[in-house]
Amino acid sequence: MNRFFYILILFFISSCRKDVQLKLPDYTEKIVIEGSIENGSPAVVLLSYSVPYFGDFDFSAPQTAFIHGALVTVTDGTVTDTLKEVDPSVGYLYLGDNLLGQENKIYTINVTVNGKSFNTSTAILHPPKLDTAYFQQDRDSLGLINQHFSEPAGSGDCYRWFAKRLGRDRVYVAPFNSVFDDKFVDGKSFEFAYNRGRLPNPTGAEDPERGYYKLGDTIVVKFCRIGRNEYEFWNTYYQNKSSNGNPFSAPSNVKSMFSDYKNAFGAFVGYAARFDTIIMK
Amino acid sequence: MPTSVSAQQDETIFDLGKKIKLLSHEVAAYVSDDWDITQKLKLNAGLRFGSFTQTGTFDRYKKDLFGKITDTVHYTATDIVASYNGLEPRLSLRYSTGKNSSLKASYTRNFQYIHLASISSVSLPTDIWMPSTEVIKPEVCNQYALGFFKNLKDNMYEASVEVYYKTMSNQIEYKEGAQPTDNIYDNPDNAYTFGKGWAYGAEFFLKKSKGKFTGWIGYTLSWTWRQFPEINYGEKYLAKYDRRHDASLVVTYDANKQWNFGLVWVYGSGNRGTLPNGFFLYEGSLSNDYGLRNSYQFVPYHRMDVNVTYTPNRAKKLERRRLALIDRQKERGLDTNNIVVTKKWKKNYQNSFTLSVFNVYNRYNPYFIYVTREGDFASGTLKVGAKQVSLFPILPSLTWNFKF
Repeated sequence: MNRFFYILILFFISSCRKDVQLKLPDYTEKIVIEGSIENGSPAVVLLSYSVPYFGDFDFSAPQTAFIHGALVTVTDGTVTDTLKEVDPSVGYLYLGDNLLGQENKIYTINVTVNGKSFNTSTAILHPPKLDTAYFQQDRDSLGLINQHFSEPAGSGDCYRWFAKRLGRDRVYVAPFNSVFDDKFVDGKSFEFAYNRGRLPNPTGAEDPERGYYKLGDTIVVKFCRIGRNEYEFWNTYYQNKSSNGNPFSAPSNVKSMFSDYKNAFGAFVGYAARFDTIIMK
Repeated sequence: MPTSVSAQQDETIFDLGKKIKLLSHEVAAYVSDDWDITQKLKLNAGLRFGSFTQTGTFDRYKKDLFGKITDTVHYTATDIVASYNGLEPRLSLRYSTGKNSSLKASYTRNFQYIHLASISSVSLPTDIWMPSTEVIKPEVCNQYALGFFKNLKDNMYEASVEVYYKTMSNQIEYKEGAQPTDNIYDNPDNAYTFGKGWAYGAEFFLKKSKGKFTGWIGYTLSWTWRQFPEINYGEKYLAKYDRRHDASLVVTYDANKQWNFGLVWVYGSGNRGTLPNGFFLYEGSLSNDYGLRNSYQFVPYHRMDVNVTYTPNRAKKLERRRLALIDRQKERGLDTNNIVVTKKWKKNYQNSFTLSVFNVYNRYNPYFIYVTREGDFASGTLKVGAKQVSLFPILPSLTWNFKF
């Protein structure tokens, strides 16, 4: 009887799920615009094409998706900066030349690829200030950065958080869900901590410090105020990542900051950044 | 509404708003009348009046352009938050075109005061029915239909052809990227977006109601569209339940008083859903680019069920019992003239056995489909695939029916 029962269960489980070949609708590749400008730095833009889901794109050579020879300009209304494409050995970027981000200024980006232009604007707001930041050891010599923050009342602000281990990380890394708005915390004083964000790891090797900072590390925290549209972009971006094709969530396309989202999508984010250095001890 | 949330950190209590309850009342009255305009032309007219009211207690959060709550309007238990009413006429005309045929035309207008909006492409028991509120207006549907009906061969066959067109306003969907937390410290109706819909199609039907073989066959060809300014770039798209082809076949064969056979076959074009159909790279990581809303069509749903019913012959059984009693009496050397089957055996007892098989050819109809991603693109080990989850494979069952 028991055996029969198990066979029956097995039959049900095995018949429930199977691999299928999907015939997805034809896919038209879009231009993906990843742009930002922050106080004291020039604009940085990365352009790439999106690729079909079941296409023959070689993911081991993602650089083939990057767009070269585009015309990218950023203007603050007075000065227009034509971004220069940097040497691929540095990393497929369009970098600003003669315009550095400033607080309380609005910047408009214009990207022209194959005769088609896409534009949007962003503002660099006032940088936010953390009250305190300290290392909270969690296990062994690993831990997180606890930060205390007093959110200004009535502002409707949005934030993004990055960090970089000095001498260890090449760039500032934003962890998953690195944005928040003041919907629940308006005018409150509270403490928060983020896991350490991850950079793409070409070796695929397991990181023993995954998600944590290590005792002895020097960390630079970059805490930024961003606008509502910029927040919406990142929020939907993370939502898209966490749903990851999950059929139980609402299909969430990323809320592009570019109006012609059929042909191009992405964001141009003004970061009002403030930096804090914390030694992990 | 699932909105009861609280959070606290040391002395700081986070502001997550109040638990949201929506209270409402609905009343309706209906009158209808039949009118024989001429001998051949008949009219059935009806009028329904419906009224729907959302009442307090209720808090409405007022927001500015940036989604910032600027004010809260409190309604007490005696306050009316929103009220809707409407007349719903229905007219149906029937014109006899012959002894056994008629032409029918109808118009119906309906108000729907509660709304089903599903956050996902999968239908779940957790889908929430939302009442109409200040923000959610009642759905209004106008339907026009025209049909020709004919009975053939002395009413052995009934046949009909019908065409319809339907318009729907105030349709409801979740906004793109809606999250369950949108309900917290907010009115849940702010997570919805509104649009219109329309549908049209033709239905063909043939039924045989006399003879050993009975049953019917039906086929519907239809289109169901939706258009929302905030979904799918404002372009029209096919609704989740759009079903281009829908066919049903039901056959019953009464072989004799003991044996009855049945067969049901259903076919429907697949539902529609939204799946990722592209990838994009952002901050060094790979994300899904969803296709246009409901641009993916699932494989068709079809299934066959069969059943056979055996009803034992009661008279034969009683006769067998009588003969058995006679034999017994004979063995004992007793009189066999006055054999009576006891009352117990004569009771009005009936039974039947039914063997039925659901999904007889074990079709794996899709319940939902999801995409899978294994490995990591940065290390060149990325593999993508898709999986389909199905419910109910072949399911045989045996039923014993008895009546006493």
